[in-house]
Amino acid sequence: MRLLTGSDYAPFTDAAWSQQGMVTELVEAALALSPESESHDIEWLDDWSVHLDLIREKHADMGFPWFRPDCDTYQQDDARCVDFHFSDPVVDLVILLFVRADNEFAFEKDADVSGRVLCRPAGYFTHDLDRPDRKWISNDLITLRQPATPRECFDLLMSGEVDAVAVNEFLGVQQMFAADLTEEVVPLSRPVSTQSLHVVISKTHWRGTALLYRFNAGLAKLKQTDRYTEIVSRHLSIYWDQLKG
Amino acid sequence: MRRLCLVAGFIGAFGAGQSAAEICGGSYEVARGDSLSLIANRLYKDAGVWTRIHADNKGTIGDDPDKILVGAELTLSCIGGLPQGLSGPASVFSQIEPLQATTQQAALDTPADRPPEPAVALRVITGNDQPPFSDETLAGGGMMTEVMTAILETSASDAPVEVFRINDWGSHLSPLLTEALMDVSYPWPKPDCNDGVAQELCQNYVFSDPMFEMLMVLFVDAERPVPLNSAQDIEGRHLCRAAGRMTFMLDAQNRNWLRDGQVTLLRAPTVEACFDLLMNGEVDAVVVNEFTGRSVVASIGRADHIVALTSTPLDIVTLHAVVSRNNPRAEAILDRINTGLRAMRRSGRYQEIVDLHLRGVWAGL
Repeated sequence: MRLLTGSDYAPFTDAAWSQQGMVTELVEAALALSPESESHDIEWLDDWSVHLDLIREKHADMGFPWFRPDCDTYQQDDARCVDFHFSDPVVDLVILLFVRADNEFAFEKDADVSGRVLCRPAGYFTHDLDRPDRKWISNDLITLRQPATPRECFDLLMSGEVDAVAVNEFLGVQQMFAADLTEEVVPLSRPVSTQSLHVVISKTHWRGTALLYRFNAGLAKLKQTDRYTEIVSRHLSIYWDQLKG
Repeated sequence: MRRLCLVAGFIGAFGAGQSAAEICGGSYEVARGDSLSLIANRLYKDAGVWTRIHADNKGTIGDDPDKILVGAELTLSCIGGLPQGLSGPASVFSQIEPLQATTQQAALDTPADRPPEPAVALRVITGNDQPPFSDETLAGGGMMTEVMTAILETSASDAPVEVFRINDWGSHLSPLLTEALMDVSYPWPKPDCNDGVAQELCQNYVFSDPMFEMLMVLFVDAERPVPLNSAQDIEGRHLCRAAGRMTFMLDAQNRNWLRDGQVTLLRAPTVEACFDLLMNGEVDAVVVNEFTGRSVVASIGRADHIVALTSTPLDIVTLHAVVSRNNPRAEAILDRINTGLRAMRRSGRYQEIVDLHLRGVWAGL
């Protein structure tokens, strides 16, 4: 079995990270616990933009980690929902609003964000901002800026051009440390959304549903053990230690 | 003529080292891989003699020279001093001439005045009511039909192929395959032969390399769900499985639902008839692979009422072409199918077919 992932996504997947990353370690542990467990190879390809096509074409049997659109309701026509099986969540990530410490605003309900300018890097998903009960983008409730990199979002935040950067907690905190903004920037406590990372399998793979079942069954077993929590917390502590160090 | 090449190795073994004054003719037990022309070629050095073997053994073989069974006893007359070294002589003629050294080329030379070697067709059966894998109403006759058709076209063998649709799945393996009325049936799930739940299947049939993998599941009425957390959950339940389909998955993984009489199994004539019983409350669950089950549920407009228990499958199964071990050509047939399948996987043709059909499946659900 061939698995496809890429680097530069610490602490989740990175060839240079401890155990090659938290998600890599969780995926391998789940596969080892799956019924009729099979051997596998992990291929590392740092150009994430070609991954999904390679999995569509069966050059790889599974890929990870990927966010899942809302395939059950309003995004069922999204190409990812049409073409891929998504595993059960491997890990859950919280998407937070990172704001300037001198420009903190209340975010207790969705309406509080009305009229604000948010920033999220180009190429990142936006479905959580525009889901049916929100429609922040479609109904012009917010202005969304989408520069090329997370770094540029934080630059816009510091120059006052955006009110908040909406990214996952890891990315946001990492950027705060990288740009030396740990005093100037704070995350608001109420999450924008929770997004999970998944394994994807082509829906036209000749073993697609069987591979999906095997992985999910192994993951369910793993989550019942202390090992799951141990893996997650070990990687988190390495991550925070590195940021602070 | 390709088939003759397969026996080139045997010819040398038989031709060498025999004394010049052995008994001629005798009885011969049909072995795996035999056909009448192969036997004639090997023992008489002349494939054309198959007509004489057939004529002499009509009582054993019957009218169709292709239907010979492994283990059948044939009486071989002495013709031109051959064959030698058989037990139970049919003729008391001794032969004096020494055997000529035989070469492969000599064996292939069939004099023009003899009938040509019969073209032994490969007889393949499948049936309907297995969407998306096999059903004549589907594009190409279904995914597995398209795969098998392409395999048999890809393979280099010159034996012609005859494909039949026989909707009584229960007749396929026995008697059609075991009595050599047909050579290959597809698609069938393969039991785990180490598990011991399907010893008869494993002993009597050989399975091709896998052509698809999927889950065998229970489909239940959404309003009457069947929990599958412990053995008690299934005790006394009524299940339906379409007639003629294998049932090993009900006993697999030490489940032994059928063997120990924990469940009552109803055999409705079709998958749809099983779902009718489910909706009428006459059974608690339908046992079918997830793809066929979903296709039939969608076609009868019950997708909102019937759910597949895919997170607690009965088994993970692969689909195969099946040949009887009694078939004298079993090994050659399996080799032809597996070689063709490998070639199709390499060329991308296999994936094209699977892509096309599975895209249709997911779009229709």
